[in-house]
Amino acid sequence: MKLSLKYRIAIMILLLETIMMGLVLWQTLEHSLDASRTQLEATEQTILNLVGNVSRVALLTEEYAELQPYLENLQKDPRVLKVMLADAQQRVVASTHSDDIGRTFNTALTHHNNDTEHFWRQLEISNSNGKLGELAINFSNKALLQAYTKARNLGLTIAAFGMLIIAIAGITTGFLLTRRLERITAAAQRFAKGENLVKTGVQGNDELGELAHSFDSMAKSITKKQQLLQESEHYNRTLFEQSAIGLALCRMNGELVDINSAYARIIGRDVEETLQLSYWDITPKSYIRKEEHQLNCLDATGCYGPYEKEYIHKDGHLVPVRLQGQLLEKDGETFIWSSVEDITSYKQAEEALHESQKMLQLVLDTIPVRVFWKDRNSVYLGCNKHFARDAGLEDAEQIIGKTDFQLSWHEQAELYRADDQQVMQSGEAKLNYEEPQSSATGNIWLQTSKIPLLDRHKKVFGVLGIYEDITKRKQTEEALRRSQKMEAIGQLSGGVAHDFNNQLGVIIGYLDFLQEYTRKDEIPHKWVNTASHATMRCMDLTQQLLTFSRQQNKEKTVANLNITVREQETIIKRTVTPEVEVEYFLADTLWLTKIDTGEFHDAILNLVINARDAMPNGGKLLIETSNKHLSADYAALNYDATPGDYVQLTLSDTGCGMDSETLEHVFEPFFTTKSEGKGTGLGLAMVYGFVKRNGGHIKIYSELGIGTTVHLYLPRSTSSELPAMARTNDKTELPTGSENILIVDDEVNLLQLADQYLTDLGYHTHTAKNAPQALEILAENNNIDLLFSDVVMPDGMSGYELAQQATQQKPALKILLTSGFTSKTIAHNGLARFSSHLLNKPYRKAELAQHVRMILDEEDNT
Amino acid sequence: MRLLLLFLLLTSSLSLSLATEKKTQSGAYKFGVLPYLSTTRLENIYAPVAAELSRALRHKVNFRTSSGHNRFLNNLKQQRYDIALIQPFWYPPAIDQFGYQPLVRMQEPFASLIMVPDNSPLHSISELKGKLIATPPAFAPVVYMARRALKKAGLIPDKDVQLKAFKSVDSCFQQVFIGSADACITPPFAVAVIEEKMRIKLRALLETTSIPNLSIVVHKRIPADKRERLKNIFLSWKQNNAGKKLLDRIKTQGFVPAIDKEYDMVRAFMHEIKGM
Repeated sequence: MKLSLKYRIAIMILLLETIMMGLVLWQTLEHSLDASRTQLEATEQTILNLVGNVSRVALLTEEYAELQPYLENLQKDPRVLKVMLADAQQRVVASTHSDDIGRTFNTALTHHNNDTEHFWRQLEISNSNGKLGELAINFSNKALLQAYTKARNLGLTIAAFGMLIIAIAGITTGFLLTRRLERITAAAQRFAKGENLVKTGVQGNDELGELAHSFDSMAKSITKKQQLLQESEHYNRTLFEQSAIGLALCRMNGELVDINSAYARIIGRDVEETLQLSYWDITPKSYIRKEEHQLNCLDATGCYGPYEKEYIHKDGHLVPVRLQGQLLEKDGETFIWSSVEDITSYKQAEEALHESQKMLQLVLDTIPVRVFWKDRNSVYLGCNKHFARDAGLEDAEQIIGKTDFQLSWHEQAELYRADDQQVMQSGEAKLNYEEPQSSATGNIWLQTSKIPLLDRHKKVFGVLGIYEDITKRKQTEEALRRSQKMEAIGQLSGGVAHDFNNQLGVIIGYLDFLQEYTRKDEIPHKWVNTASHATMRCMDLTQQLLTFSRQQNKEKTVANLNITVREQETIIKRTVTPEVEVEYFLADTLWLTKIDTGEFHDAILNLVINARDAMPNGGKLLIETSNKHLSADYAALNYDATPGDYVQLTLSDTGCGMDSETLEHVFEPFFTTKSEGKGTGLGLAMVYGFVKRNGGHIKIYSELGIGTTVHLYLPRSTSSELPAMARTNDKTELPTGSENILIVDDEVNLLQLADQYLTDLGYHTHTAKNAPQALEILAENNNIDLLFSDVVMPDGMSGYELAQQATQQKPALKILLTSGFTSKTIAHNGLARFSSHLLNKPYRKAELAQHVRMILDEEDNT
Repeated sequence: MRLLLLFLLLTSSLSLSLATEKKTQSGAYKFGVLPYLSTTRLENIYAPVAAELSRALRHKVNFRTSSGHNRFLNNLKQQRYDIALIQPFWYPPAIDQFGYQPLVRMQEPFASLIMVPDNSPLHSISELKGKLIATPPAFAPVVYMARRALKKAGLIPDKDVQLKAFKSVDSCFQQVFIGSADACITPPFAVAVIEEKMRIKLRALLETTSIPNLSIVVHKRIPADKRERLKNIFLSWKQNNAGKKLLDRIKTQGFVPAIDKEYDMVRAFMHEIKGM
């Protein structure tokens, strides 16, 4: 039977109240009883203590008669039924019941047993001397029982009354509660049936009122949400239908459940026709594996894609599409919801872009320069193949993501990065600047340009770099610079040497005179000899300097270097120390070369001396000759070398070697690494000059601690001519004569010296300080046999020009020229015929005498 | 068999000790102390004394007193006490009539003091004229001695100065403390006790001539050897710490042998009192 809520509430309340009241009553009674008991006990104890104190006095005084009335008075208290006092011998000495007196205490106690109505409380009375006696009081329980009964009755009365009230209140409450609940229930039922905007009509500030209000709000809210849901559904449906992207809902087996028209259009069908198909009907079989993978993703993550595939069009062609989707629960079934995009045009654009990129890459890879581009953090975005090769990469794409710190030129990475940042931050290109780069073959030089890359918003997003290897060009420039420097030094030193040479000529000339005049005086003669040797030494030095500056016109002869080297074997041996072992490796069939052998001897000697000085503790000196062809490539790397056939002479030592800085200056005049006084610094400069004058090439290789190798390359000659001018011996008798000689020199001292020489030799002399003066003398004197003139003279006419004019006037005139250096204006347009009779300054008397005699003895030039 | 014998031996020993205990209890000596203080006060002092006597004597001694001097004297007369601490004026009858023998006495002389609080405005006996003096019960020796001294000082008791008897020395001082009486008559040994209890300082206005102090007498029914031992016990307390503590409780420096001849002057005084 269904019991109404109001009755159930009432019954529930009644039951709960009964239980509660019962508990309260029980607790109250217990508490009350305990309180009463405690109070009574306290009172009993107080009585006991009081009587005990009085009893103590009685026991001490043994005056029990006075105690008796006191004890009997106690009986007036309804709680006290009996009092007994016993002495130390347990004999009752006082009692409210006189017949107890004299009895033993325990006997008297047992005579009045404890029962529910009364009980004994005892107190032992003693002092420090022991027990005095014992007091016992019999108390009545009646009061406690009375109190208990009273409390119980009161409690029951209250409980009964309370329960009645609660029962009435419970029923009333239930009724009041359920009435409003019924109204709320009715409203809920109407709402469930579909009625909108239902209201309960229940008011109140209590919980039911709150419930009713909440229900009303909920109904209103749900109704509104339903409306919104309907609108949303309509909206979503419209979006679904009108979407340009294909949308499809299919079952897990691929059966299409719902699609939009965009989806159908992708495969060239309409919606109804497409819904007859399955997903697998429009998927090419080649995509099965890919589909399986996507299904696995779907299982694992609940979604798949985006990924690209193809659909089969109605007309059979394949349509590229991009799909993505997810699982969807609907009506208890799992579907796959997918969006599909026709990417045909995208694919076409992609293909076009790819082609464009390929073309761009082809252009980049074709141009001979290195091209690269980086992002704002100097991370490479791409490069051409030349750059990739420089970076040691197999493919240009491998550069993507790398930085300079990860490439072979990481030592310059900071520098490159700084340049990148400067360009990107300033927004201005940095063009055609040079920078070093480490490479596998060593350091190279680059000419680089960097340009900021701007996006369509004109914002810098990276940097474009272009560079080319200018290492060869720099080497060439360096060689040219060095060569020009050497030439400038040569010109300078040649000018100095020329002037110095003139003065030396004067000094040596007069020293020669002094030698003759002091022949009989031993000591002065010795001094003059010493001075002469010193002067000759100076002449040798100027000779070397002039040799270096190529201003000395030397006579060349065709020579076999093997013979020339062997001629010097003794000198070489004597030049080096005994600890130095000299070995010769001379080619069997060595080509010929046209050189001045004297200069060659000097050059060899200088090289041997340098080698010796580099091996103070001994070592090895190797001298090699060979035939060598210098190629165009070699010439490209060595500016001062010309491709062709050469005779190579190599001197190698195992000395201390030279560092690169020393090598840089090794051919400069006066540059030396030797201690002061040990070298003039002109040795290698002289060798360099010798080689250059002979159209050759010199190359030095040296390493510290290893040694030095010098290669001399002298051009090959096909001539077999080998003339040689013998060295004059000072002690040989000088040739004399009596002819007439015109001496021309702008240097007065040399003019006078020459005049003195020739006069001593028996010649008749005329002197002139310049060419015009000489021509005047020639015009006035028809008996002049020889014109002895300095080449370089002021007033615009050189010795050569004087000789030309003089021979025009007097064709039979013999010509002997003298000079300290050769000007560039010499040896062209017929003037070169006079250069064959050229006496180098400074000259000694003997040399002058021999040359003059030789020329005068020659057949007429006409 | 052996176990049975052992059992019997044990039980009989136990019974014997219990019987001895009972006999001892029932044969305990009563040591009566005159009620010069309240019963409770006397118990605090003399229960330990009785305990010490019990130990030293190896015979249970129970402290007893009575509610009043008359009752005590009556008990003395009835020879209820085996040992008794009595006042000097009870010595003659106790010895001469009641069958007691002298044992020891408190070594200090016994006098009667008329005491006032230290802050009392009274500084001489003559200033007591017209005042009220609280006294122990009238028959107390200190009262007699004080009366005699007042007379000698020119103050006729109950005429020039009122004397009112109270139950005990405690009661007397309580009257003085609350201002109902101006002075109090007390024996010397009670002064320290009162001062300690009431935390007041007292000053003597008058001290009578002294007589032998409280004495301890023992009934002749006590065996002589026990009497002698008792005497020695009392006398020895001056020499040991436990005894000194007891003496301190009693407020005496010690006990000396009680010589009967010393109490002749008490006898003469009593004769004089009878004439008074």
